[in-house]
Amino acid sequence: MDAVDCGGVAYSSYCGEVAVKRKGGSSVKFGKASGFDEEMQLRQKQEIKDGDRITTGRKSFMTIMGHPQDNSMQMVCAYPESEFLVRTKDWEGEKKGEKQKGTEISKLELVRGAFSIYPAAAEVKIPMVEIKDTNKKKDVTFHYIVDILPDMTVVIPGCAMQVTAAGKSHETKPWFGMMGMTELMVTRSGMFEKKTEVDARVTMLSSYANFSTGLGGMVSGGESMMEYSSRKMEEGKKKSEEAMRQMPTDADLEQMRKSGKFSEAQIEMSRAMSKSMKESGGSGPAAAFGMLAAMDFSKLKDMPGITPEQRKQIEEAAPKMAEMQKKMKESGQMEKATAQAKLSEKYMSLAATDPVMKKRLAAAQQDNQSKLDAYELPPYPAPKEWARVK
Amino acid sequence: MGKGEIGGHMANPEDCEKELADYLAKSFGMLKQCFEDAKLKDFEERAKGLSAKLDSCRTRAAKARGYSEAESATAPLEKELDAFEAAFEKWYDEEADDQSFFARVASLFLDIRLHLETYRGGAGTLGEAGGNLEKAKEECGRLNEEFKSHVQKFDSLAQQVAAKAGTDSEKQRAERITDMTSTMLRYLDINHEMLMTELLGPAGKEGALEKALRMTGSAQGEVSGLRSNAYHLNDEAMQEAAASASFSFFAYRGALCAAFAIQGGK
Repeated sequence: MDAVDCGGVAYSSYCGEVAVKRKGGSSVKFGKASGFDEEMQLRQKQEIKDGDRITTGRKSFMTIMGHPQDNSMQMVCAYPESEFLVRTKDWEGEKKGEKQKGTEISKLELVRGAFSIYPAAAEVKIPMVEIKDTNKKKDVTFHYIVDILPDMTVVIPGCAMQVTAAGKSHETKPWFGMMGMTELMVTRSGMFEKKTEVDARVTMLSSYANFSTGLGGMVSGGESMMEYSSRKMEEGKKKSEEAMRQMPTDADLEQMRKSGKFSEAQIEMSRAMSKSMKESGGSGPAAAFGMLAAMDFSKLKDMPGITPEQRKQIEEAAPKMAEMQKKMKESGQMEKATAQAKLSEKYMSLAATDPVMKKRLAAAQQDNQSKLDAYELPPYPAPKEWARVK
Repeated sequence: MGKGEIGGHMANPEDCEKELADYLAKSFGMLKQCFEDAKLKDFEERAKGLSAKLDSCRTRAAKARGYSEAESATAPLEKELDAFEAAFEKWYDEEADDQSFFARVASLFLDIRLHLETYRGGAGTLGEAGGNLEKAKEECGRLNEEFKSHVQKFDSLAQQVAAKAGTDSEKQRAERITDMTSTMLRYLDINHEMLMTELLGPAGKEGALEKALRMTGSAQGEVSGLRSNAYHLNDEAMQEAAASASFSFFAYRGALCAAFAIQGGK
């Protein structure tokens, strides 16, 4: 059996201008989708690959996530005008007897700009500093913000950590447990730590820490996920209706049998599919359940092209499938599953046309846009001697 | 899980009436404990007496056909609750001045009344259905319609308040409330239909009451929202509509429990 894919390294959201330089030298400029369809297409083209060097433009945010084997949270949110390099690593393993695989971020090289990072086990190379996780709280995932400028690096701890610069180490943590209440500025002349009286730039960076993770809808032309799902469902139904018109009738099936050109297996599959689609009105999940209920699996042993081994497996499985179908029908499970599948479609249609949901989405999008428009980082003042770490 | 405790597997509808009664009696216990902690012996004893009052109603309630008969059968308990609560309020006015204690006791009395509605909805449905699942579903549908009518009334009152709102904060609050009620009404019928699909398949191992509580948990939150909004607006008509909606919701929940128990007994 194939290993279960737990996920790769991919962007979860972005806005504005994002450019990627690949390891081989080619470049990709991330596009702006006008709707979910386009966004789905772009996702196929715009993958994050090992060795990518990523740059964000003005007023441009991006979030990339990895999937470590231990399932820990791994994420880097890049602020505007930032540049970093991503290294990835594939892994394979087994959990509770199930084979699994995935890809994690193995290394980040931060070049310039600001980043909000949940590194998990990734190595993070930051100009001027090294950061070590000394967090002992089990319910807190190690994370921090780092702001890289030409002549300084500022660390905003999200939990306890050790920061080393120019051979000197210092333990720091967020004051009152809140990110943004502690600022550790590392310059060529030393380390400077402020608690509560942090600089305005630190406050702004902290307030935008997870901004790019909440960007849903901004790049999708105003259509909500529900509206998109509902639209896709209606498109699927129209295609099903067309397919239903071409489904064989009982008379057609009898002709197929008389012609001698089709196996009993092929005739049985056509019969079961036709029955289930007609009964379910062509809808996807309901049709799938119906087909499972209607199929005579014993006839599948005649399927053309199968090996003797496969035929034997079908012959052995067929009575068990028949027994399962009988139990599902008698217990009402089949009826329940079909009814729930139909109701979930109805729910989706209701949600897609819900004026309150639409209003809230529009308000959230406007909020996001206002927040994006307001993003402007003030410069740091010169470090104060009283804040020097001795 | 012990018999009668929430989570025990309901094998048959006969046990369901008892489980609903035990669930109601638990809320008497909390009121009794509250008075015991406050060292108010008389009230503690009176709270203890509520169980006996319920037991005296149960024989008739267990035979009730429909919510109205169950309501009538448990009227003596409700009468005692009214008198008990009035006596407490009188005592508080004359002899106490602890607002948080008053609020706690008022909240416990409300819980008892709501759980009484669940008992009524459940016992009435068991009696009306007589073991017939389709009849139980009909009773659930009827109580859902009753609940919907109260939410519609609340929504209509909320729209009137919204129309009269003057300041920005009044408008924002009114909009939040009308958004909440219109959303509730939008999904109310489909939520009921979804709950009815649970009665199509096998019963499963979960207890009937536990399942009814779990599957209506988020709706309960919305219903509480009606009450708290009406309270903050200080609007008597809305407070009444919210209270009616709450009671009918809890009765619906009891009917659902009965339906799950009948399903489990098939």
